Amino acid sequence: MKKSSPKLRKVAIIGVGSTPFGKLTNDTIVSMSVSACEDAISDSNLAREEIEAVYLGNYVGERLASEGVLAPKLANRLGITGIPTTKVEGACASGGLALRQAFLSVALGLHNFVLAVGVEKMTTSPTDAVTSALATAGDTTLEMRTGLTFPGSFAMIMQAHMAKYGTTREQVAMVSVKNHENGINNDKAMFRKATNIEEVITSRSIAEPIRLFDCPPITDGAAAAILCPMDIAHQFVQNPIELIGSGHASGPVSLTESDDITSFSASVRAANEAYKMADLTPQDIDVAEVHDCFTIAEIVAIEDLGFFPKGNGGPATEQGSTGLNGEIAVNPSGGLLAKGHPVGATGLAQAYEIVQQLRETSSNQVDGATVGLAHNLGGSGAVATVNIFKKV
Amino acid sequence: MTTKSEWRQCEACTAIILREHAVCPNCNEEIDATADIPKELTGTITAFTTIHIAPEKYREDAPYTVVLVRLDNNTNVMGRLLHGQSPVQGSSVHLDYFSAENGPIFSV
Repeated sequence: MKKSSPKLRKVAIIGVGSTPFGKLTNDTIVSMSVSACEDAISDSNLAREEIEAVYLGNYVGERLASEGVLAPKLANRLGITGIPTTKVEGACASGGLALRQAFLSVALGLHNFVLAVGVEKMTTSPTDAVTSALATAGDTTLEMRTGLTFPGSFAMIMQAHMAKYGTTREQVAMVSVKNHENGINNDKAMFRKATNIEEVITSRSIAEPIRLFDCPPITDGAAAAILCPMDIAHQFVQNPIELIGSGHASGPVSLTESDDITSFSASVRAANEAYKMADLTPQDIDVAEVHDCFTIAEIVAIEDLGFFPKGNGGPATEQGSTGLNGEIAVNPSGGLLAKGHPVGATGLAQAYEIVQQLRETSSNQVDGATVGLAHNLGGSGAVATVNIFKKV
Repeated sequence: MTTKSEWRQCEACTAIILREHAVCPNCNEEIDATADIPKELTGTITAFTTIHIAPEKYREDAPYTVVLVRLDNNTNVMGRLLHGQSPVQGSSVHLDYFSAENGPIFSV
């Protein structure tokens, strides 16, 4: 049967919310979700009983917070029990997936008002419990059995990128320096302190060549967004942001299944789908939140997303092209490295920052930003989502 | 040599694969025949890392080196490098043995 393209409605984001990111000792996974959603609902001026569906992104809540059926629990606490609620999981791209599913349900006309939320509670668990929970995203039999770790996978990618393109250790470290600098102004960020190249490359060795300051912290947090059809968005807010393109793809679950580990095919596919839907090119993007789960991941992302040719990500970073005043501002929020990485929340926290940028209310405002992009990656390239946002 | 029973070789393309694969991840063909993995496997190191912070289970092994190897049949396999050896990008390696715990162990 021939596949026909469905007619999609234009979709707006009318509200966003986020908890601070950090060690939220007094919060549970449920209370954090509620807090971010209350923020988003209040920001949207929507009456909560108007919400028709919930998509919740979460990765390791069952293991680390011992909470299942999180989506109905959240609906219960919000007083909206009865509507369909769905938890989605795509490792560290769970939040991006929740946003993507919310987008589809509004774009396809299934619902008018949809809540997307992402959450993770990680800091109350011992580090070994956290790393082994996160490692479930790797291919157990093909690679993790060797004793490879998640930082180890990205260390291999970094080593291969340096060997293939001549990317230098200092260029990779600059990602951490830039993102920590951006984190200083972000009052939601976990780390608000500058670092420098020397400190990054001499920090504790995790999996050579990856050092501690190439890695994101273990973090608690939640973020949320309210979506509705664009044609009624102005009834609620003066400054709706249009979600003009959305892409989602899967990729190899093991590095052994990729012939070039310096690129993630899922990112490339998701980006192509989003650019095509938005009728834009990478050069049209003013500001981007990309998945810097390790320093090298940002360099790979800015190449996979088409901002720079393959192999130019390192030099571009070194030259300041991804700084707040550069060619394209990348991770003005501080990214995962400084803002923190509550894995299931990250995709929606990226959307939160892009919405602030397009409303011109970011603490690291990029002058004249009209089009923004959020790129969320799961595993070592098993899942990717790319969402593109535009000021109306 | 210890051979872990879930490892097999796809007879169509000679990739080292797992029993649980329904379709060969290398040649995308439905698997209709597999063989035991050959005793002689050689290839080159395409990426490597030395793990300092290891999972609890492997903590006593650390630091140890994990290598991504492109076998001579143009397929990839992940394994450890024999303890004490130093990895070099592009250097030739051969399978030393299959460990039930850790999968393939390579030697330069």
